[in-house]
Amino acid sequence: MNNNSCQTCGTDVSRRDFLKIAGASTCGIAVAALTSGEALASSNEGLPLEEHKAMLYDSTVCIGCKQCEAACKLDNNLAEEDVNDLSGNTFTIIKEYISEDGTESAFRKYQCMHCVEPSCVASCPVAALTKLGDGPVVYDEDVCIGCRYCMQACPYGVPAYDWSQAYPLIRKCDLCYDRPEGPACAETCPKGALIYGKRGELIQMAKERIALNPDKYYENRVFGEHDGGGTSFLILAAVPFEKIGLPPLGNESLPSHTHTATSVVPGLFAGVAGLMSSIYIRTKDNEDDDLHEGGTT
Amino acid sequence: MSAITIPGTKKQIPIGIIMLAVLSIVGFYAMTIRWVDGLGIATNLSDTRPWGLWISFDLAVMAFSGSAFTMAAVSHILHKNKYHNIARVALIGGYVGYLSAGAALTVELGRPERLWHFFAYHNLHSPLFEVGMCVIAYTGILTLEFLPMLFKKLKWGKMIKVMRAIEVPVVVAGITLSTGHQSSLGSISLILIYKLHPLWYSPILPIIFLASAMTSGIAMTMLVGFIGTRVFNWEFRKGVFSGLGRILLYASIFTLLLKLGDLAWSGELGLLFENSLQSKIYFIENVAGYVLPIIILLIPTLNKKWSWLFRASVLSIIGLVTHRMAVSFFGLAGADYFPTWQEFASTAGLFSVGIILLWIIADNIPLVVEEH
Repeated sequence: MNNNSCQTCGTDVSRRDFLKIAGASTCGIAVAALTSGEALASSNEGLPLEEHKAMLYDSTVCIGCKQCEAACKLDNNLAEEDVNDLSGNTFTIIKEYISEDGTESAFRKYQCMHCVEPSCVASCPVAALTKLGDGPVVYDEDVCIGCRYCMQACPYGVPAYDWSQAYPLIRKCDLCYDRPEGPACAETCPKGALIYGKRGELIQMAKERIALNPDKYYENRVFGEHDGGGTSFLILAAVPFEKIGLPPLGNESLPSHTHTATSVVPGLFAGVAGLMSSIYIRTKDNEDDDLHEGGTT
Repeated sequence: MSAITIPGTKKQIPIGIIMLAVLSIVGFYAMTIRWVDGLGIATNLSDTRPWGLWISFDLAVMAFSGSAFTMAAVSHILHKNKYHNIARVALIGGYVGYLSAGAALTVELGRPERLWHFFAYHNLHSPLFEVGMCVIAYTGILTLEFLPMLFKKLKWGKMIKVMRAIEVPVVVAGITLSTGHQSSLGSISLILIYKLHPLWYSPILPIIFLASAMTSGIAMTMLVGFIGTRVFNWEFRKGVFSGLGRILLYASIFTLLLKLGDLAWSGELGLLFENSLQSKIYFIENVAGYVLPIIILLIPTLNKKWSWLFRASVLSIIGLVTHRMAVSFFGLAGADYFPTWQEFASTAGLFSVGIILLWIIADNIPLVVEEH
């Protein structure tokens, strides 16, 4: 009974075992450190931001003809459906906002915003969603496991499901990344409300429009230059952005909120393993006393 | 307890287990509806409400499985030997919990057949990837912790020796993985800063998740211990339950202060009185889950009585379930949502299978053994 081991669970461990623990935890830290370094390296690839593929949507020019919707359906081979939101078969939709007193109205084109730091990409556990080096946020339907974290994480409510399928996939705009002429919607727009180009040039164009009409545009700024860390789908509007369904995100990217938490993980692992091992050693010598005490209280 | 005897044997099956078996069958039928007809028919989920009851089940069950690592820390690392037996019960409870959460993924995921993609593809920045890896690794660790009991039953002496040699590193690895995984379950919500109600959203959600999981893990250990004492005549050492009650008290006070302190720090205490659905749910969560158990456990005449310790543990569990439901749908912006009968039935079914599994293990392997 006094052989310094616990009969029921068989804890009979020599100091040598701590070399094993120390070894195991050191390996763990090393692996974690290496892998996190690799992740950081891979996120820096790609073209500079101003060279990214992008679109500028000027809500004040849009007449709501919905030819962009039709072009998108045709090019992506999507079924017709009667919906008033983005869905598994509707990658873009034009909605009209009319104020309660009817004096103010505006169109808004809903579609994937192709964020500079996309929440969907940050949240996807299996990296089915990725941001291409030249801007588009694309989806690999062969990789997705269907956890729907991207749908939850996207502040614009973009990723959608085809709920009629037993084994559905995420569906969303991919900026027609593999179409040489650029997005079908922008190509179709009869009014030039939707312009496809390089992000830097489009922001410049938007700023020129604002400068020409100093009181026309809301807050005299283009939504997406900095909002939520920036987007590749840029919006000019005459009405407050919130009125046309754009969330007030501030300039910080959403993934920055999780990066802090995920980056402390290797340290946390090392800390907990070290702490537990040292407590184990410290309390081990009290074992018999404790056993006795445990039996009488 | 009433029981049904299997014809031709002396084996008796308690009536409660028979009822759980019926629930399991109904649940399995509901699951087949999801597999055959799809999520659109089997659930009330939608593009703006992509998560529902199944996520709450996963989050709650994984929190309860925190019993395993919390009790392992108390018993094996702090060397509080009187808890050895009940730590073994907690271990099995946690093991079964993880298995049923894993089983839930087969209905919940859009493409459950691709679960193995966790090994093939990774996004190290995703909290969900971290959760997935930790759960997979930790289930492996729990298997290693469970095997010695099985080997003992099978009388495989050599294997028992092997397992004993690696026991301490295994326990340390288990605690480490659990800490990471319980907190990363909270990290999942960090990106939902514009969706999750400010009563629950907090930059310290990972810590709140870890603390609440440990609290409810202790409550769950007590509950399973109480039930086992009745059903299997388990005998624990004197002072085990009042000792756990004391740990539950400290853990509950810590977690409650953490949550209220966080609200006060961010200047959101006023939200408590906005009288919305969310503020009511927050009250249920914290009054049932923390305030009442703390009061019970503080009163000297009550905190040694089984009946009151039992109540405190059940209340604590209700609080945890409410919290996990809040972060998975009540507190999240999106379409109105009420689960379908298939969602309810499959959740109840998975829960029932877990209890039956626990019963089978406890019935066949001596979890609570005579010491000395």
